[in-house]
Amino acid sequence: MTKDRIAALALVGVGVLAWIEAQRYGPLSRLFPQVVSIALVLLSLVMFASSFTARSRRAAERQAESREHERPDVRGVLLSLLVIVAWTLLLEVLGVWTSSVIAFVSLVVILRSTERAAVVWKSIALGVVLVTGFVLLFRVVLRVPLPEGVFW
Amino acid sequence: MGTYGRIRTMGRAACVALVIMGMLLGAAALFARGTGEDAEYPARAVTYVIPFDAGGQSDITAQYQREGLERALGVDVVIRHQPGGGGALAWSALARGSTDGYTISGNNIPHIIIQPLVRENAGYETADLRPVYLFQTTPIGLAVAATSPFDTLEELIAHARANPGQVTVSGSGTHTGHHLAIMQLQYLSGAEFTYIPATGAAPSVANFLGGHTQAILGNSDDLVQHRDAMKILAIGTTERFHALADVPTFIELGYDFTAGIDRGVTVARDTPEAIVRALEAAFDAVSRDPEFIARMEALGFEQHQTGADEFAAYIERKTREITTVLRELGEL
Amino acid sequence: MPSLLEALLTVAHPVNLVLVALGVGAGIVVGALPGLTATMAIALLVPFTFGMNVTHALVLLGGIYCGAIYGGSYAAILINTPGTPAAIATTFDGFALAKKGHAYRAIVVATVASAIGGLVGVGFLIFLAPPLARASLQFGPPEFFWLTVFGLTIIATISPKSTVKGLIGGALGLLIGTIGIAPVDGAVRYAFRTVALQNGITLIPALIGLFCLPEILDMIASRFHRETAIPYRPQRHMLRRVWRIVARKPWLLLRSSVIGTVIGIIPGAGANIAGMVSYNEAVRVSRKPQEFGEGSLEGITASEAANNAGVGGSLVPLLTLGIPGAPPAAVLLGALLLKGMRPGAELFTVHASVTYTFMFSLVVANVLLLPLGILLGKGASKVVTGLPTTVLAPLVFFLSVIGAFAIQNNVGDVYVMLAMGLVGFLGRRVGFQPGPIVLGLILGAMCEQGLVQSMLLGRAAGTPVAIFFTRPISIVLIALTVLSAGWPLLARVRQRRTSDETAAHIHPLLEEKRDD
Repeated sequence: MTKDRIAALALVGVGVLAWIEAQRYGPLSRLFPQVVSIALVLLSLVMFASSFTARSRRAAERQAESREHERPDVRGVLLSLLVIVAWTLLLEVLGVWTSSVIAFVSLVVILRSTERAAVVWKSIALGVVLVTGFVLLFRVVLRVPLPEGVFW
Repeated sequence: MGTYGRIRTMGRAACVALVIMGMLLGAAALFARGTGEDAEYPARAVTYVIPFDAGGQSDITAQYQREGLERALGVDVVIRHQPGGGGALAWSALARGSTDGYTISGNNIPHIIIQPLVRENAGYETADLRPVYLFQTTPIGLAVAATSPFDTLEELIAHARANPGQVTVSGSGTHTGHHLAIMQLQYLSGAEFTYIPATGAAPSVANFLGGHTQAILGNSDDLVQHRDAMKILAIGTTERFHALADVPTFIELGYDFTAGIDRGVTVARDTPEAIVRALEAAFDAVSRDPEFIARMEALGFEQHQTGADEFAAYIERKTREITTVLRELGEL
Repeated sequence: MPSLLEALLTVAHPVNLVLVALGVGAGIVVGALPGLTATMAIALLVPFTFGMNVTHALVLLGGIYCGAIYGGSYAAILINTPGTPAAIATTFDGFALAKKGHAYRAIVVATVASAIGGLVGVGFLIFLAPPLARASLQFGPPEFFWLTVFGLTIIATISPKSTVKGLIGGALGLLIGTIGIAPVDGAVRYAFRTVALQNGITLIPALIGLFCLPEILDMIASRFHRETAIPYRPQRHMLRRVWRIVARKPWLLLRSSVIGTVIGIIPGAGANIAGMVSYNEAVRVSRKPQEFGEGSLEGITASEAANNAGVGGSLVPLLTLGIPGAPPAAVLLGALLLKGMRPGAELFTVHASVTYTFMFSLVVANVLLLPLGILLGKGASKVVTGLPTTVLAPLVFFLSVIGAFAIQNNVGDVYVMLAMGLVGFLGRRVGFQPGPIVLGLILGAMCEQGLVQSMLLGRAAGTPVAIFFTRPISIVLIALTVLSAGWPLLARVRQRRTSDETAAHIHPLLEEKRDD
């Protein structure tokens, strides 16, 4: 239940900061955020307190048991997040198509479950086709502008 | 292959991906510097940014200007919507953007004057935007319900003077043309109204038609549309408005101000003079097309053919006027 | 009446039928893409209609409107991301079904419910528009305030595991909703002097981030589903099976459709609220409330019947008064005005044949949803479920990126999407669901607007408190709020009592140990 406690305290912090910042505003724009931030602080305190009850301890144990057979792929998640952040940052530098194709290929390589090259290549090819197709759909058919960079 | 080996290959793949991205980034930087000056403006497509949502009045007008602009400029014109912050996002992007004249933007008064005045950081200053052409106004008028006891502006103001704050007036948004109009009327008449801002013109009209407010500041097109349900007391034009010829102007009634939302076009401040003039000429050609004028007037707009210099002078005059009112009413 | 007959003949004209079908098809595709809303679908197509005559233009745009609202359910069911905000409540059960391999069944249920809901909404539009529109104007700021308070009670329904965490999520959503320009005095709040934040957190990028990114990261985290992310079990005669299930619940369909229509009519509240309110009511009335959230067909039916009924509803005040009931209807208003058609009495007299043609074309559009939706839905569910995670995860993120960008042409929205996605991902680890946060975000601005406008009106009239509690519709809404907030407690007590009785039978000692 440590996670719950940390989250609850963080949310109390958010609520307090929001309340303090709202004091700078006029009476009409202060009212609503202050009421909401008080509610947030109170509810988070309830969450903090209830993490000490026996019921929540039991629930946590049950959850830990059920989690045991499933080891999440933490490294996969972290590497994917890295690629995803780089992807969004490069959108307007490289252009949507170029950055998406690079990121797509990286993710396929990171996430592949097999070493069989043919499967990986198939995924990459499928990815490039899909990205190109959607970029064309948006730009040409729907005429919706997409991020542009130096490349396409 | 064991978990460890798998992690190693994954790490390697991520490294390769990052290296490739880095290389492309370098190439991008080189490319960006490589694009040289164009010989004659305009040599490629011009992007016309609308700082509001698709489907709004600015958008509809731009969609109709597009064909004429393409004819006048000889290149494609691409309309691009960039709403947000009451237009401030698009204007701050323009102010910080390129001065090559290939990105132009809708220019709305009073928005570009009020936002930098009242916000801590609107992202741009009025002077960052170089006015190019003013082509349209949506006049704002004041109306009460058809069943209201007030028949003239004078009666309404007398009532508001006697009962400060009791008369409620619906309008669209804060620090907008509607809000400014009520502030100017309060400032010039000494009466006190309670302004009820809505999130847009439509909810404001709904509040008024539902009888939740006693009066409304409405755009000319809304006034024309709902004229059977209301008595229009005054309108914010200099001369009488073509679609509502029997409605007096505020100026006629002794309140010396105009109220409306002006639409024009603007570029970044340091755009070369020749480019500004080329754009001015193109918009002038479009704005003088009789078919375009007729179509826009049917929608309840007032059309203008105001060039860059006159437009700049107008903005300067309006800025002085607005600053005075905001200061007097304690909004600044 | 001759105009009615004329309208019927016009609708039946092959050109109009083709245009409706095209509109519905295009609408489904656009609506299914996360980030491209029904509003945007219509706005994108308006310039294409400049050259058309008014009947053709309206018939096409009406088809797009119906198709897009329905199409939002595809993304909701297949990738747990509402394609349009109207489909938020569809994700609750739709994706749960997809995970169990019943994506196609979920889509067929959504199709049938949408078509029926849509027809009910259009029925109200055709037969009852003028009186309903007049009634909708009674909805003033105090009513909006109470409507949003009522809306917030839905949190209790959609977070059954922990009401406190649901409420925290809702409060967080309300707070995020206050970022940007304040609705009443124009102050820029929580922007910390940055330019980008003065725009606030836009709904669509937040929606995509909160729903989509955690799903992608979960897909990646569980290495067992690497081959294909979502199983797929095709079944024959799906429409007939589904029809048999759905037809057994006429009240559910009717109630959801009426809720959707009514909320659609209220100017300012749209299909997104309609779907959630209807879902809430379905849970409350259901005899098996515990099935909701785990893949209940009733949940999908409630959400989809209501959001498509909202289409007809939103056109009621638009056509009779010129006040759009929802954002997509606002874009339609622009299109009408451009064609020289002024909403109001004129539409039903001077332009009656065009107006009725438009209304009948909506009937056709809703009927066409069935074949088109089932065809496209089968294809979509086959394709999406057939993709391996290695392709699906990047693809979904790619669609999130372009969807978040396209809504306002703003790369800042992509960062918002990413940030909200991380909030959603971390939140999920602690037991927070995206539903309540999004609900708070949607209702926040409307709630504050209603509250502060009412205070201003009350102060002007000298009744600052009474204005909230004395108006008839407000009283009804307050009663509904109390009922809705009290219901989970009541249900729990009732459940406990029955389980207490059985427990007491088996082992009297269990009683004391219950509440430790």
